Amino acid sequence: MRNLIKVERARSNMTQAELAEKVKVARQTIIAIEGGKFVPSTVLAFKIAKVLNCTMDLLFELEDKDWE
Amino acid sequence: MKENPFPYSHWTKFLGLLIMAAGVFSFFQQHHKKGVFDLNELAIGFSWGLVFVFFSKEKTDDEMIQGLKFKALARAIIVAFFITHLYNYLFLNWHFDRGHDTILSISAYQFMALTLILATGSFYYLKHQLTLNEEQ
Repeated sequence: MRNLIKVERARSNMTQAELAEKVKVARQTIIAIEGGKFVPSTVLAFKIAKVLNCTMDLLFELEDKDWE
Repeated sequence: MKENPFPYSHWTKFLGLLIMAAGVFSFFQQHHKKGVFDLNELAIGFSWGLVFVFFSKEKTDDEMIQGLKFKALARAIIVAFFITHLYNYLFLNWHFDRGHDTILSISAYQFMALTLILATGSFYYLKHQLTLNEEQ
């Protein structure tokens, strides 16, 4: 799954640590999500979208390999 | 709100380390007194200590950390069971006679210690791998 968290976070002028604190996860988790190494749960994805003030479908996008 | 599956507080990690240190101390004390290396003595300390280290909450405990712990534990059980079976076969039951002998095995403490050493190592390795080259 592709995501635009890094872009939206930069747009909101927020660091990984600040985002992590607001959604109550470790900074490593934000790093892993941004790097595409960890796919968050629906609840966490909604929390991130809310903090970054954007919608889920803008933030996350399915890739072809997700259908395999 | 989801309930955290790990029962112990973060500080119990230190308790676990203390128990492990006590196990090591007891292991060498037994050697000093009796002149034997009793691996069970060491395994008891390590298994109890690692139960507190592995099953305690991390500083920031979230869904990724919990997922990694589960993954590490699942891998560790498979690997530890394989190693245990191989060791039992090669070193304890090599000349096993089905008609006369009973199957020998390492102790439950040794199996538990091996599993938790592998699980703890694997957890920190996986955590490190996920954040490698991605630091700010």
